Amino acid sequence: MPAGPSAAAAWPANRRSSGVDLARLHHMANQIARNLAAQGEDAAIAATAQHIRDFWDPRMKAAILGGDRSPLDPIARAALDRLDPA
Amino acid sequence: MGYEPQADFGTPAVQSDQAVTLAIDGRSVTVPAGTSVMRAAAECGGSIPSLCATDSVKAFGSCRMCLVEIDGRKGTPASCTTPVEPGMVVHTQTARLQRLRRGVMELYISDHPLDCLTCSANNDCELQDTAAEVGLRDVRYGYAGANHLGLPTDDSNPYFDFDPSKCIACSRCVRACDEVQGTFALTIAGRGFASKVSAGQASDDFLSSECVSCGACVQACPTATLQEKAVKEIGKPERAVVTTCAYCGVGCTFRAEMRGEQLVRMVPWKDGKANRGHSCVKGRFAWGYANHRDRVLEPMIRESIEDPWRVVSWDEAFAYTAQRLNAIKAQHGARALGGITSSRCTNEETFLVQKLVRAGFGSNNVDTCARVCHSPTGYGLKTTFGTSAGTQDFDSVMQADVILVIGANPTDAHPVFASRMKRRLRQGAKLIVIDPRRIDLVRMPHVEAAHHLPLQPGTNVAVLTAMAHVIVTEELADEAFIRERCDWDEYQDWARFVADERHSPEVLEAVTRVPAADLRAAARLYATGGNGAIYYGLGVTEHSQGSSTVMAIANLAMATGNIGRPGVGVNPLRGQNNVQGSCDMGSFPHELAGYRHISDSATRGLFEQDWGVALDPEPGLRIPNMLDAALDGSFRALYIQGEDILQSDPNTHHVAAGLKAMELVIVHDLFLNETAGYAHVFLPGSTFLEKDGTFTNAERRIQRVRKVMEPANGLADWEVTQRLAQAMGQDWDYRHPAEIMAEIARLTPSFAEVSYDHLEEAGSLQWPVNAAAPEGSPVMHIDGFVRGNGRFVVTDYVPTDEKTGPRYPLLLTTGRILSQYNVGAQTRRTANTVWHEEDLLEIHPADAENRGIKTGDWVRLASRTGETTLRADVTDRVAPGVVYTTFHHPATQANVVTTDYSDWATNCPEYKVTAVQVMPSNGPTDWQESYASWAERSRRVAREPAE
Amino acid sequence: MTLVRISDDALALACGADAVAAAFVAAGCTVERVSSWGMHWLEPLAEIDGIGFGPLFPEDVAAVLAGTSDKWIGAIADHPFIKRQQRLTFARAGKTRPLSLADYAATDGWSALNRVKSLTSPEIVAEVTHSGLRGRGGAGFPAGIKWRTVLEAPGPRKYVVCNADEGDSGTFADRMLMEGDPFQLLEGMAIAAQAIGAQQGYIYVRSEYPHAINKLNAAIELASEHIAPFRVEVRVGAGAYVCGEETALLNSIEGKRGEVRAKPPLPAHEGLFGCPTVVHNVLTLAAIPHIMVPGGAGLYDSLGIDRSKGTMPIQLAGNIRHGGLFETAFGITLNELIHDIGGGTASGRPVKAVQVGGPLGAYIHPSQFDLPFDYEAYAGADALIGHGGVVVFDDTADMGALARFAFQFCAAESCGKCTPCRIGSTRGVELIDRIRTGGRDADAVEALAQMHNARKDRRSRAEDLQLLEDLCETMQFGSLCALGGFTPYPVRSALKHWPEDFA
Repeated sequence: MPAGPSAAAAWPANRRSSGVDLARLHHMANQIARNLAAQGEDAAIAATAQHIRDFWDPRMKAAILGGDRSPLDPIARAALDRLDPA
Repeated sequence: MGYEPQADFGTPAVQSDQAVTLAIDGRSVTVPAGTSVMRAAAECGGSIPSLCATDSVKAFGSCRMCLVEIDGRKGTPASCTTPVEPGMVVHTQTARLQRLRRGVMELYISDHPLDCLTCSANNDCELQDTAAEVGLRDVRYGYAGANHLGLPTDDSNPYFDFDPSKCIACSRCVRACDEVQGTFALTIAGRGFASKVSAGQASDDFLSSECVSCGACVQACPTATLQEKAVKEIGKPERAVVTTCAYCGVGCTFRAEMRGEQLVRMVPWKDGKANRGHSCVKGRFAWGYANHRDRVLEPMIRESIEDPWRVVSWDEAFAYTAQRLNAIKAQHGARALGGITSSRCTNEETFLVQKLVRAGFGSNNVDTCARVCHSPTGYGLKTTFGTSAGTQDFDSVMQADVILVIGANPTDAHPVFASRMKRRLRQGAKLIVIDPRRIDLVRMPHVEAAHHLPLQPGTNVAVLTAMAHVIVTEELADEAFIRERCDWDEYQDWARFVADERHSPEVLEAVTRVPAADLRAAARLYATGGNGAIYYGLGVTEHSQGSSTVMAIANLAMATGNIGRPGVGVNPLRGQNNVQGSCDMGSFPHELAGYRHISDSATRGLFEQDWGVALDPEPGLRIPNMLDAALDGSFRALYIQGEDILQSDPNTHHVAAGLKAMELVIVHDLFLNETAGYAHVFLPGSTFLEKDGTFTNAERRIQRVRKVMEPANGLADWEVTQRLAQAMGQDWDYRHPAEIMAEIARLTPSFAEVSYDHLEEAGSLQWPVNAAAPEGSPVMHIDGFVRGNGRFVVTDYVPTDEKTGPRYPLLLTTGRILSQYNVGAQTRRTANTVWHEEDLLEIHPADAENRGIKTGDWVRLASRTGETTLRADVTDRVAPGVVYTTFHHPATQANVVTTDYSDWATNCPEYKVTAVQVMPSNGPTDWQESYASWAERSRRVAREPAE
Repeated sequence: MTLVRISDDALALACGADAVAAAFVAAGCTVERVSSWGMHWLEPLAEIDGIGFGPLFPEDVAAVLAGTSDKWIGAIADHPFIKRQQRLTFARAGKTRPLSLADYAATDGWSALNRVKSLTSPEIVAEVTHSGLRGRGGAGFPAGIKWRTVLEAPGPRKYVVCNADEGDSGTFADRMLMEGDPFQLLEGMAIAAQAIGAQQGYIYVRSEYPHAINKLNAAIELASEHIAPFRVEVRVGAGAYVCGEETALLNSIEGKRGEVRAKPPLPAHEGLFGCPTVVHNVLTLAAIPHIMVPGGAGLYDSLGIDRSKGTMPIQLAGNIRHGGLFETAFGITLNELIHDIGGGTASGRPVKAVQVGGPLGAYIHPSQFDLPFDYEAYAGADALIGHGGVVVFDDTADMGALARFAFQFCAAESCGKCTPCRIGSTRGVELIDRIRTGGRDADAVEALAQMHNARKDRRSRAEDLQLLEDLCETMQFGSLCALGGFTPYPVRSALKHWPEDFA
């Protein structure tokens, strides 16, 4: 279930996602991916995506999905793609 | 109901499969084999006079009051040390026994003060009782003989006095300190007539000795020799109400012994299933904070945090707060509001706070202090077993054969449970300690760890993986258990992973610094030593791999079949008195009560229907993310109940900045704590003595909190939350916490059969309490895991990002101490300040010497995040390269130094690993000084000038 | 080269044996230091070719060697004091060098231990039981039953503990045995260890026996291969009579206060470090080797009377002409011991009383001197044999003062655990004083008006005597151990037989 659009819709239209500390969100996402990596690549991607879906609030999800994904590690990036293809 | 002392059967209860029937004074009585004649008499309603016997400690046989006559045996044996035999015929009242008892009594009274009427133990003294029982009328020896009446009183301990002139040398205090508490601080000095109780060396008084002020000796003392000072001041209690302690996750139950509305003393309840009649200094004595002058009793508000506080009425406070909240919600949306529930307040109160946030504010932005302590437990155990809680009860430790303590310091943080653990260790169970520090448990009187693995902070997963490697490669796994209870293929994947050579103890030694031979031996011991039980604490969870460590622990337990019966299990030592409950009640932003994800529409629907409101289906913000969101302007209002995030959360600067950025901070607490410095509304809270409710301890045991006095601030905390909700337009109408519990039970399957009536009848209940387990669940996962199969999760060691280097070459880890509790909000406002007046930095002699530091010197503790100053304590309890401090005093600002790094799964802060440098200093840092003066300014309360 | 044997026993040393030995050496003789014959009035005793000379001073040496000494005793073995004895435990006394393995082996040493190595534990226990051996420390409990209990007790670790605390006044047999024949004690302990399955033994010696401690340590080292794999260690006490009580002794070995433990549990089930333990007096263990030689058990059983089997090393001491070690079968009377063998008092004055069994033994009146030395016979006369010490008093003894001393001794040595002993002993001293001054007036506290229930009138001597009787009953039936429990023996016996000394 893609969380991007519906999450963004809950926010007031004039919210700037650049106010969010994107670097911090990237750090968190990479950390999650790194810790799930040992389960094998496919499992890790799925688990990372599930984790973000289950535990991140809509603002955080909107920010990371709406921001530049290039600083992310491969598994994290793939997980975000599952949630909301770039 | 008047004041009834607790029943005492004389000698401890005995378990046995065999029953023995005997005759006592013509009455037939049947008891388990091994029971003493004294206890058998007590259980059938008779009573034999005694003074040195009490059922919390083994029989001693010294007072010689309890003599009986037994057919076929010569002499007059002591009934306390005589076990029952089948067919025994006992006579407890004969002419000879009467003479002997009176004779012994005469001797006692010939060396005892005679002014009972003005003694603090008047009518609460076993010596008095026994003299009355034996009918003593004349002390023929007179009173001019040798005596001990001139000995001075030792009043060094802040809570109780020791008056040796009243001592009858029964040794109950010594035995209680030995057998119940396990500290062995007391002894009898001298011999013969000169025998007297001593707290240590001849130069020691109670305060300077090893006494930990647990109160076991005071409780055991039959006379006024060891007596609470409060009884001397106030008088004998007139009634007792059983309630639960508000300090740690052991959840001791006490009798609050009252005189009117005044609490005289807290006496451990012998029927308490968590503490079984024992206590620690905090629950037993440190309840004076309820009356401390720092306690704020009236609501206060202010527009800006630069202004002084303005005292207002409750009505005005609620109206103001509700109006501001509604305004912010209207302008910025429901997700701009949030709340933090308290892990000290009751289940009912916590439930209402999360309900206020979800139903009233309209978001899931609710979190709790478990975020910073045991949230990884919730995640890790849910993932592997299916339940976010420990698997056993405390009694289970008495059947453990191998006890593995990792990242916990129970003798300081869970002392009453630690005493039981020590009892089991003294019986012969083996101990493994995994901790960077040489905690007391490693070697203390009559306890010695078979293995202490002093690992590098941050390498828990590596150590546990290495242990798993040993278990798998040496074929010590319990295959039958795994096949039956877990997924075999999943196990094999995991086994293959840990068996890899790179996970061997030898290879990982470079990272863990644990000698491979020790680690192998420890792993073998856990796997093959019998019932293996793991106990862990914040040294596991407060790491960047906290959740992984919990899962690694679960893996070890499953791999060795150590789940599903008494004596084994995975046991998180929950910190706060109700942190378990707070999590149970749905305080996490992603879960509703009972650990059901907010996205699950069936669960959400249940709540929506009951509450009559639609709920946000998206997970909300965790505390660190609330602070982040505050800084970027999207989170603007916070209602905090019973939590001081400025002192307890990491990276103080970040917390301060986040709070400052918010428009409305509501602090609901007993005191103007550090967080209140940034608050706009202060709602005075109530203590555990002033409300009804329930707490849930680390055993999942729900216990009653009972009101013994009216709230000094006027409202119980649940009433405050309700009034605030009502002011916001909610139609809540709870008249008693029992109604709130009824709602919880309605909406939460694991609480389905919990009710106040049921709790009254059962004393306490361990959830799940439902149709499948109507009387609760002491041990979990007996026939199968709650999630079905136990899940083996592969946990790779991922080093923390927090690295030492030339600038910050040492690793700081933190912890707690016995006499102070967490941020010290309660304990610093009691006489416990006589111990641990300040936080000290423990530093190894090698590191200290390199820096020219001696014990007592001021040192600067600096990290990438910040710096602070405190005094040093040079000790080899820490390894070279590791330093340690506590966080009980706000002046220390220990969290200025800790980082933003946190557990990958739950954001539980990595308090336990901070790269630091330590160097000599002249005194407090600029931050400490400016903070101190700012804090003082922010506590000003404007007073109306007198008319 | 003349071979002279002189003892290095502590008593002989105290009498000057070293100087005498040096004098003989200076005179060109070879001197062997042997154990003592146990004839105290003759020490320092020198033996040359079986002929005894004593008590000697260095200046007597010349005459002895010249054959002109008036200290000539004749053949020691024919001396009536020795000839009347039946020495089994003390068979080697005076004859062998204590630390000579050769002397020990030449006198049948180790033959019992070697024999039992081919026996099973139950077989060993059966023989000990058959011998009728009872504990020689004072309790008189059948040794065989104790061994069987420990043998059958479950547990991987068991201990043999030797009680060498010998605190009773007038006793020295343990000391003599430890100093004179230590290998025999070790052999006895090793046999016990074999029987019960113990790996480790301890000998708890009172601190006041430094010579015995040194001898034992040396003997243990010399004998270690003979008794292996069993190991023995000496543990030294620290001046507490109560640590002669077996459970206080065990506590002391464990490093705890020398406090008495309640029984049950018995040490046989839960003793040293909580493990099944055999605790025995020195003499009991030392009797084992000659019981375990072929026929030894039967011989032992054939000696003695009624249920007191075997021999008792009686220690004659106090105001007695011929004091020393007299080992004989049970059944001998005090008349024989004190007058025929002991020669009456050393002072020459009439015998007034004899205390048997240590400071807590009854004072025996001459009218009772026909009592046969037997556990049950003495118990029936409200007396006790104890460790076999016999202390003689002449008519200058003040029995009232001695009764007071009994309480005083108890007070000084009390461990303090149980109330009757801890407080009663002190009150006993005060009470005897008051009785001897004829009662007491109300004291300052009793006289206060606020002490409404207290008696204000004078308490008579008769009332105080009744209180004394009550105190004795309380201590006898109420005390946790024999220290408080037996203190009434000397007190009551003194009061009963010599009431005139309490006036």
